[in-house]
This record gives sequence, C-alpha cells and structure tokens, in this order.
Amino acid sequence: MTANRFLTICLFLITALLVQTTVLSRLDFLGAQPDLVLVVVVCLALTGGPGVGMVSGFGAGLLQDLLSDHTLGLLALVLCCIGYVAGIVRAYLDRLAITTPMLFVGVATAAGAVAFAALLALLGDPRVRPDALVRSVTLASLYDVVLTPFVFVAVSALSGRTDDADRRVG
Amino acid sequence: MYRDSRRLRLILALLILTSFTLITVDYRGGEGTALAGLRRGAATVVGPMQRAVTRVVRPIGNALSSVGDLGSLTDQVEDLRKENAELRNQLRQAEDVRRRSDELDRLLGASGGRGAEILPATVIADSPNNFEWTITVDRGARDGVREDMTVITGDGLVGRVLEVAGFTAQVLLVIDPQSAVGARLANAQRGLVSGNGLDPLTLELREPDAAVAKGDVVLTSDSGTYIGGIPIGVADTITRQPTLTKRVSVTPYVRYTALDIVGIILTAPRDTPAAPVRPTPPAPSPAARPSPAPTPATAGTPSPSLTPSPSPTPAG
Repeated sequence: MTANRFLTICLFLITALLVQTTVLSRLDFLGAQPDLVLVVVVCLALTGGPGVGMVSGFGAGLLQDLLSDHTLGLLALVLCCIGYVAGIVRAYLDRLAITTPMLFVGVATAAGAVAFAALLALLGDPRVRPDALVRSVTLASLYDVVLTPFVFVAVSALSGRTDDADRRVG
Repeated sequence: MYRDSRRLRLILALLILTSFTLITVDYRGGEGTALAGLRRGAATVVGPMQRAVTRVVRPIGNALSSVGDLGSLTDQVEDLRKENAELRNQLRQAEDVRRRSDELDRLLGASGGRGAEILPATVIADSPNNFEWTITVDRGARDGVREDMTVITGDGLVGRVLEVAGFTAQVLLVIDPQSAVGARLANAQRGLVSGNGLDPLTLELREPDAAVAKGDVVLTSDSGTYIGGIPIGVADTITRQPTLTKRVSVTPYVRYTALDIVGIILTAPRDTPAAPVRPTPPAPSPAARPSPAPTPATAGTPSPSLTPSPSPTPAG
C-alpha cells in the first residue's frame, strides 16, 4: 500500500466521521441517523479488497469507539468484520454495478447494527430496546442505501487505481 | 498488495483479537486505565476539527434538519398553524413563564449576583450512532469543566458532563437510557427520572400514594449529582405499578434533538435547598439525606444517581 493511498483512505474515514458527528447525527429523520462511516468502509473494501476493508473498518470503528460512551472496541470489531467480508465479496464479482454496493451496504448496515446491539446487550448496556431497534435498523439501512451511490463514486474515483478501473461504475 | 490470503487472515485474526482485548480491558477496567487517556486524547484531537466543521456546516445542517422535521408542505402548514396556536397560548402564559424564569434565576443565584456560575457552550457534535444520546460541546477542562457537572438550557435540564477533554466535553443527555436523575415534584415527592431515547421520560415515584397530577412540574432533586431545582419536564400519563411505585410519563421541556447552546453550571448556587446541610456527606446512605419528605419506609430504595458522591457540587 503506497503512502498516498493510505493517506487517501485516512482522509475518507476522517471526513466521514466528521460529517457523521456534526451533520448527519443532527438530522435525525424519523428518529434514526444514517451510518456514513460504515458506508465508506464498505465502499473502500469493495474497491480495495479485504485487506483495505478490515484495516480501515478497524481504524474507523476504534475512532468511533473512542468518541462514544460505550465499551471500547465494539465498533472496531463489527466494522473490521464488515470490511473484511465486503472485500471478500468483491473478489467473487466480475463487475461492480452500482446496485452491488447498494445491496451490500443495506445488508451490512442491518447486520452491523444488530451485531452491535447484541454486543451491547451482552455487556449489560440498558440502551438496547428491541422495539426501537427494529425501527432504527430499518431506517438506517434505508438511508445508507441512498447514500451509497454518491460515496461509491467518490471512493472509486479518488482511491481507485488502474487495476480497479474495470471495476468502476458503468 | 494483500494477495496472500493466509497473511490476510492472520491480520484479521490479530485485529479481532485486539478488539476483544480492548473490550475486555475497557469493560473491566473502568476509569483508571490508560484507555481513558486514549479516549481523552482522541477527543482532544477530533474536538477542534468538529468545532471547525460545525462552524461551517451548521447552517446547512439546521436547514436539512428542519426539512427532516417537517416532511412535506402540508405538514409544514399544519405545523405552522399549530405553532401559531401555541404562540398565542404562550403569550397568555407569558406572565407565568416570566415568573418561572425569575424563579430559576433566583434558584441559580444568577440574578442575586452571587453563587451560580454558568458557562455557555456550543454543541459541536452528537453521538454517532442510534443507541446513545450524548452531545459534545466546545468547552473542556481548560474552561473549568469537570465530570458530573449539571448542564442546562433556558428551558430546563439537559444532562450531566460525562467525559472531559482539553477543549471539549461530552454530555450525557437526560433521554439516554443510561441516565438516571434524582427528581422531585413541587410537593416534595421524590423519585427517579430515567430516559427512553426519543420516547418521553419516565418518573418512578417512590411513594405509591404520591399525589401527582397531569401537568405537575418535575424538578431535579436537591441532593445527588445534579444541582437541585432545575425543571426537567411536565407529568403526563400516570400508571400505578405492581411493584409499589408510581410510574409517570414526563414530557421534557428541552428539545434534545435540536440543542445548540447550552449552559454548564460550574459553581452551584449558594443559599438554595441544593446546599447540603453538612459540609461533607457521610456514608452514601440515602436515609442520611436532608429530606423534607418523611419517607422512612422507602429510605433504602436503590437509586444510582441519588447516591451522594463525595462532594460533587461544593456550595459556593
């Protein structure tokens, strides 16, 4: 991994985190917010492979953990796994039509939120409430799917290399 | 790059192991560990960035937020009509509001010129997920902010300071399910207010026969982590629990999803019921609290936030 590429990925993740905490978390459409960081991690993994996916997932998750109130390492674990799986999925696909990342992001958001909630509940956190969970997971998945095309185009344009050229949208 | 799938799996295993180690250490360790320092470090680095971004995008965010709130034009008309009626009603209640505001001023000692010192702070970030209700404000240890300080707006109680970094602080909102606030009614009945996310707050009254009616004002209790006498919300529906407590749904005064400027109470007001009778509270036994309500039967009720901490709010 070149230094340039590493910096690009860091830039993407930091930007996503800042936008997430300052803008998206204030929107609160119908009581849920999208998870831009997850969308960026999945898009990075789909363009860069499992290595990029899991490392950027771990890094972004850890940073979110550090800035939140829950037990450290939970989101790092969840996003690391999501990044890895997204990278693996990419290897089995010939072409990446825009629907692939959209579909994958939708599934990943739901799976990630449920896994995170399950881990929280396992550690005895009282904040997980099943009724609210269903609503927020459904809405968050929907919002993330809508965000995906924009993020994916940006990620593959800025971090896509020559060997990824044939994997771009189109 | 990472063509070798064995090496890839090794790194994955390593990262997962690191996550589990972090989870274990943080779950067991609590405050004293190096991880707390790491948290503060991250907040110190990211805080200024969030502040910068907020300064630029806040107007955009607010615009988008209002779109999200209203939904469609019909809703907008309906909302404005409602707001109109509400404003008319408020105008009628202005006298009452002024009285309440004066009362708050008096309670906080702000108008008296001595006592409460309130630090205004701007909200620069919200919690990044759908499970936690916290905000980050642009004031930190450098401005004198400490953990467990009470945070308010002009409308009422916002929450308490959870974690402090150099330039920023994280505030746990009252609506977070993790939050528990010692509360009382105007008639000195005591209870505990806990958060339910976006649903109304819950007030659990310790006395099953407590006299409470719809529309009663719920205030913070005079002892405990929070500074006493700050309005939290208005009692709504009341249900009697089989567990010998009375449960009251409370509509909060503060709109927690649209916080912009908040006040952090640095110094507790003097000469209020909040001032402890004894300078240092003895063993953390709720019965030892200077309680105006004679409630010996329920003195042992466990209530996390009512437990007197060593001296959270030194009077004066």
